[in-house]
Amino acid sequence: MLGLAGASWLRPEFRDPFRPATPFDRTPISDSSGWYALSVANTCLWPGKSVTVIAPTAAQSHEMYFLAVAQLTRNVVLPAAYFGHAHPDQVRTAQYVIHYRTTPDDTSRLRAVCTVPDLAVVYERTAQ
Amino acid sequence: MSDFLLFVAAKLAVFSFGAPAAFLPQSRSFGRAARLGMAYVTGCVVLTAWALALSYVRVRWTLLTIGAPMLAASIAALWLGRRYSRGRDATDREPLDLQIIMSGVITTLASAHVLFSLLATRMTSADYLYFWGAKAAKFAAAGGIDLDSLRNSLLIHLHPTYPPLVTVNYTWDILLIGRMAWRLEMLNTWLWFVAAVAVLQGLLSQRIGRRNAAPVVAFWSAALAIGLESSFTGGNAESPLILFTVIAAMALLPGEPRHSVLAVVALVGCVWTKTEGTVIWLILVGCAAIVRFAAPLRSWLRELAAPFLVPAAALGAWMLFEWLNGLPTSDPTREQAFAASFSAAQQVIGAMFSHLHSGTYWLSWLVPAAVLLVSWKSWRQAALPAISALLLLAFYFGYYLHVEAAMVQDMVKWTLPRVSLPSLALFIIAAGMSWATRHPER
Repeated sequence: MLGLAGASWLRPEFRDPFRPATPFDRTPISDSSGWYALSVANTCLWPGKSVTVIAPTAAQSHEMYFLAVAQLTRNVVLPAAYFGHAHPDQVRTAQYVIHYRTTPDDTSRLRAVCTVPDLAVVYERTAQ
Repeated sequence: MSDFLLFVAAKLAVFSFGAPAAFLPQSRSFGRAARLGMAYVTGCVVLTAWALALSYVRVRWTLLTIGAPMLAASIAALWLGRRYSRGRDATDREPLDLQIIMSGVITTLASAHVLFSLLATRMTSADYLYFWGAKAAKFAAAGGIDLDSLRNSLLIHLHPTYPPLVTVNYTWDILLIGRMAWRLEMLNTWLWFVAAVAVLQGLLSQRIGRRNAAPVVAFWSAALAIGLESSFTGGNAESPLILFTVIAAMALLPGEPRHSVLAVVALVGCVWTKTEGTVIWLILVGCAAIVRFAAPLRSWLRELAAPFLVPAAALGAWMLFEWLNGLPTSDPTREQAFAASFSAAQQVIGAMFSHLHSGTYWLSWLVPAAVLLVSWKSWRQAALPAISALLLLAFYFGYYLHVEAAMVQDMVKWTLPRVSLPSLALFIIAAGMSWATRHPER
């Protein structure tokens, strides 16, 4: 009786269960492509340097900051937005800027170091 | 070596850290599964105690500083306690009948459901990604409790006040694996669930008989497996809190057999797992005191002094560490203790009722409620878990009264399906014990 009432395995999204790419592919809590983009970006960041993530909205930047703190443990992660507050000062000081589903307004002082196709570009801030 | 094998090695080490608990005289009456579960439960708690002790004296967490002394202490405890642990072990070779076999099949399917949901990333908790796992990754990188991160105002989402057990256990795995294996680490949720099933089976069998315990554990496993999956608890602290809560409640039951050591270990686990674990500890010990109201003061003190004082000391040790290192020790819930608004009471009750479905259209609650009603004459046997379950729900009702009226619906929706699971776990045990008392085994 309980098995039928809670039978999530009958739901259509439960097909192909052994091929998740991120820890939350089938959980409606967050954007799993953001996690994937950060896992790729993590491979091209120099350890110890600071990094920030810019997403299309402040809410998405806030969430991407959470995910970046979890994944980019070799780097100092700075928030572009945190609990409803924008942090432009943190963005300005970050040595790496990850543009997730966005493009920078000005690329004159940014050098692309790697790309996650269709999702993100990792830029390194160049000397002024 | 593959991440999986290293993860298995890390978990075997935790079993070995707690192995002496499986050889206590009190434990020898259990079957093998329950004793393994007790070893794992104890291992998780003593690992946290040792990691916290190292943090006090600022010794870096490594495989050597944690693993070697813990293993040595475990072997020494087994060696020193060998003369106390002589005697005949219980065996699992009792006759099986259809009821036990069918119950075993349901329990196995429930356990498989949790494992499958975790592997398929169907039940991942946001809290796991945002802070439980993230904190463990940071602790492993820092070689201990990462004070800089916990003091950072731009990392308050890591919840610096939350107690250390889950994070320490994840950090231990990372130390062995060498990196945070996000999907693998979620299997801890399954291990805690399976340990709860194993120990509950042992404790219930002693109280109501193996044949009666089997269907109760089967229903408990099915309800909790679906509840854990439907409320997205993969990798968060719900599963260990359920484990420690049910073990503590069973071990605190009055009468024979007594499991004082197990009660203390489980209650320390409660206060070190989640903030509400402290509430659970107080409720369980309070209820244990109430159900012993007719007992002489001497036996009252003998049975309840340690379950009250040792977890208090454990909680104090964590809070003192926070205070000494300039970490926040307060929690907004406690700070607003007198700012409740009873005008939202009706709204809170409505929201709580609609989100107590536990992924089973309320059946997980309705079936034990019906059983309790039918077996009301044996309410005394069910008093401790039943009252504890209701008091815990009452605590959450009080908590939600502190939430802004506009946020109540969302807050209840986000949290109640999972935080109500320890209450559900206790409620089912209450119903099972009450039913079994009316139908004693011959």
